[in-house]
Amino acid sequence: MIGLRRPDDVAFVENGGVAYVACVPKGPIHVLDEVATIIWEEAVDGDRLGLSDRVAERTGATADEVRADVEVFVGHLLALGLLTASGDLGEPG
Amino acid sequence: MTSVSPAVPLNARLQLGHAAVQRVADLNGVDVLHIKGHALDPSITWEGRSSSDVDVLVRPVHLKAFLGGLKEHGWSHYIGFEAGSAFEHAATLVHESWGYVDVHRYFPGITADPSRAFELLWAERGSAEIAGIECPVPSITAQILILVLHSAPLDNRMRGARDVEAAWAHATPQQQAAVNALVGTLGAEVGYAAAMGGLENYRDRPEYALWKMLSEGGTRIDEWRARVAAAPTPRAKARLMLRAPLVNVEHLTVVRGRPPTPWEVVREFFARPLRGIREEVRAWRAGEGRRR
Repeated sequence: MIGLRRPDDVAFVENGGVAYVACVPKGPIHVLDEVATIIWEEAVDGDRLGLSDRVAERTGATADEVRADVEVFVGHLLALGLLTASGDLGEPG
Repeated sequence: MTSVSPAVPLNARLQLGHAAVQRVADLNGVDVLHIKGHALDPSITWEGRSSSDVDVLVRPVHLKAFLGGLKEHGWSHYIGFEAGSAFEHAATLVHESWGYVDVHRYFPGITADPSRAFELLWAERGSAEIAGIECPVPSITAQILILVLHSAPLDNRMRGARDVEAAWAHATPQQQAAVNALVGTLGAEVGYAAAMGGLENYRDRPEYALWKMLSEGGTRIDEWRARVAAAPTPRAKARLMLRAPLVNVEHLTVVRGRPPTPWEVVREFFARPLRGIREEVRAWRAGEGRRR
């Protein structure tokens, strides 16, 4: 029952579909490719419920096809401190 | 010397650099204003304007804490205040991820007391979201003035002309009036005139010769004479005169891409006065040529 948000110390720049994301000031800069950028953008939207659906919609896949990868990637982002949990905003999707 | 990784586009790195610098300021309770580059309001800049570093103006009383905070978070010294420019206004630090940051202790052309000037700018500040982080910026009026002052030196003239076109020529009459009022409040008349015309009206001001030389060109010796004339106190003038013959080792390091050897410093010590004399002779001959 958690949502996700961008931590206060995370900066990002989106440039031509690629995102450059970093905890500042410690770094380093993480480069997210097009699909990773979509997952990150949708994740910081806050509502974890339906995250896979939203990613699927933007990538042309089905939610079932992307769900496992989305969860693994969100786990990486949480571990790197590029995302943080933000309270009761929905169930993991 | 720390090098900057080329893997991330400069444009993205600079925006993240602004964010990183702001976080250091926040963590250390330091007031900074982000100036120029990505901190400019979109209404006064032009498409394609590029920059190469992050520029911030720091509240003078916070300078030491800010430099300490930057070093604690991985920035290292690149060029000090005295070696940076004729105004000795900024130090440059470099970070492996965030690139270069110019830390301004005052802005060239603003002659009001730096603490008072910062407070005036801070009181009217706005905010810009850069890379998702809120960064304090001067008011649009002050941003226009800073661009105008920055455009005055010959070295900045090409880009400066476009900056003035975008910032000043497109400003409303009310904005232009506000900039003119700020020029008076901050004592920026001479630098402003060097950029916009009318510099000869300020021949009696101590900083006149320096702006004349920077905006129209001159020899190395002209520059030192002008710097001494512009120095605010007898002590500052004496310090400059004692430093004039010394080799700028930091500048030499940047030019050569490595620290100079002791022998290179000695050779430069003797070469500088000779270059200065050659420049004077060339300038004198050019003047004679024009008179004929």
